[in-house]
Amino acid sequence: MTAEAYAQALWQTIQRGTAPKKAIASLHALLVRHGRIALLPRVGRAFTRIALREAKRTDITLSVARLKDTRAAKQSVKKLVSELRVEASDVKTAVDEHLIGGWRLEGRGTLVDASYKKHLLSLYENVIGK
Amino acid sequence: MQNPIVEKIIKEIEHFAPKAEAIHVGRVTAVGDGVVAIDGLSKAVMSEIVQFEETAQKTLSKAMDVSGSLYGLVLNLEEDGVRAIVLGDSARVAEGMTVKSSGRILSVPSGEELLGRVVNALGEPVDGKGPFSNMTMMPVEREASGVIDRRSVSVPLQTGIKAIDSMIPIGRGQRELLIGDRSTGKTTIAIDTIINQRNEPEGTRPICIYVAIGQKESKTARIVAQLTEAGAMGYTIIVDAPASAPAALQFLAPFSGVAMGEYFMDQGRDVLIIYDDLSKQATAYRQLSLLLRRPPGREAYPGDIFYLHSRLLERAARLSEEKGGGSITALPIIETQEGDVSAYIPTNVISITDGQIFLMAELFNKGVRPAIDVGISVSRVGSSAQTKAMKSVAGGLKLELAQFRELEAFMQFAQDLDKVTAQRIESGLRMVEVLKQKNGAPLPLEMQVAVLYAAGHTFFADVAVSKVPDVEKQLVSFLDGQYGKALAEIKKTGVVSENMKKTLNKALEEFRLAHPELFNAAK
Repeated sequence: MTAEAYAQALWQTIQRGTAPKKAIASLHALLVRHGRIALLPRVGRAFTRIALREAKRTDITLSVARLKDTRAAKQSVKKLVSELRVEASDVKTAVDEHLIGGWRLEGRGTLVDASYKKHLLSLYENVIGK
Repeated sequence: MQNPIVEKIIKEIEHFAPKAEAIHVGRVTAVGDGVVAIDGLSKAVMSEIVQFEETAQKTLSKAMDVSGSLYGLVLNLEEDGVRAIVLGDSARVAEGMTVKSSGRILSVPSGEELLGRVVNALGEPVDGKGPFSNMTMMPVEREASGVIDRRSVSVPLQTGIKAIDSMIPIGRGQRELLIGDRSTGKTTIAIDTIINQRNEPEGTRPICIYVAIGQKESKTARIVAQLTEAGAMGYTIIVDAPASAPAALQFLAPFSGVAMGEYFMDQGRDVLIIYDDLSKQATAYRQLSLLLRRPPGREAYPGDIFYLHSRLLERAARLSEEKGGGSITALPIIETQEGDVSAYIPTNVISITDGQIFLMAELFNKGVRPAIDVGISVSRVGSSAQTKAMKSVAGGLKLELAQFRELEAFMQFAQDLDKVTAQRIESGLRMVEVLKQKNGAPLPLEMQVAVLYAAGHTFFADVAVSKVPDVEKQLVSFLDGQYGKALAEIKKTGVVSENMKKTLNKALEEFRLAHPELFNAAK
């Protein structure tokens, strides 16, 4: 828990504009002062987790069933992407053949699923009354 | 000839309008013991339902095999995510899974179709009698009715149990706690009360909801069989959250039950709801709270354990005429340990309810059943709902029994007692026998009044104490057969008129003459 708190503090310090090198040096000094230098490896691991989580949170991924569908999909999500205030170039693309067709845009806490798989599943659920 | 299934599919395809809406999502970061930590979902609200997306990264055929949707209930809103409880099998949740926000508060289906059915805490049928078709969704968490919307309790809820209807009467809209050690007959009283509602006219008969929390499945199955056999399932709903169900469902079950009841109350109907039992719900809530890392308080229960029960029991009410005049009567059950009613949860619920019926293991073991300790049992609002007929025959009963309990200790010095004390003890002994009642045999109001009238007029004075239950049984059978129609007047008018007293005296005399062998055997 404590390591998590130090890692959070380090993350937020860097987010506020402090240079990473300086922030880490300050954290090191702080841990020495608090007599908690043994926590440093755990703080490092917690920091990695936070960084990964934040990266996932800000990433936007456009999934398509086939690579050749990418261009058409990007065209379809253009408006959505601008609404999410993301540069079109920042949208990552991935291929998920389970989608069958269509596209799926996920990121920044939003999901738009326009895949054939989702539509077929909805159809199936309507038919069997699930 | 077209296949109807193909027809249905064609219709679905023709009318299918694909939607690609943007929905709010989060991601599972940790899962364990039925609790899920979700990153994101910054717009989630308390008690919101979230759906776990199990079909991602699966082929269409595998996605179609996923059995039903898996939902969670948001209970903690944190700085960078939420914590939710899984309403189902938490083994189906995996780290990294997408969680969709639904924007709706947890609701359960309610409606006429629920009558006679056994459902789980989410309102899904578990009795194999098929799905529901036409239901209204009711929010599980709803604010209790306000002061203006309520009116005072004035209509009795007959339990069919002499000891309760005469001395601890319950009114419609009241909250009366059933409290006692294990195996002291708490559930029996509740079930008898449900069974007794068949004696009520259909128009005013309460809808009964039995919420089984943390009970053995075998016990619930036995209760269902008993109610079916007694013809009581037609107006009863069973909400089952067995001991094998996740703690989340055990915590939710009472709220689901009362939400179902509110549907009927809003329509102006009366509802009787039994929570069997709230001790187990408190334990389930403690488990969830500790897993949600909420600070533990007394006995490791979370700080809001009182609020958990008060907000549940406050939903029992009798509504004003403007609001339809419906009511919810709650009979919560609390199990004590070694008769300790001063423990945390019992004292909490005692202070919330409008009275309590204490069941004593000692009385139960002595054969006094129902094992109600009349001295410490109380109904705070029920007396205003008691019929005049019952009041007239049971007026001094509680005091008489309390005095008898005081004098009981002197019974071993029987020879040295003065005449008045000896008489009081003899009368008390017979009254205790009269108030005994077998389970599954609730008595209609008019019969209770007749029996208590007889007891109050020294009818059993010449009967041997051990024979009193037999004589009472025969008397009830005699009155039912010979004077059933005349006695129905008591139920209709709610009073014992002078004419009725004459009828009762005549009936008792007739019975005495017809069965002389039962009397003059006091010793």
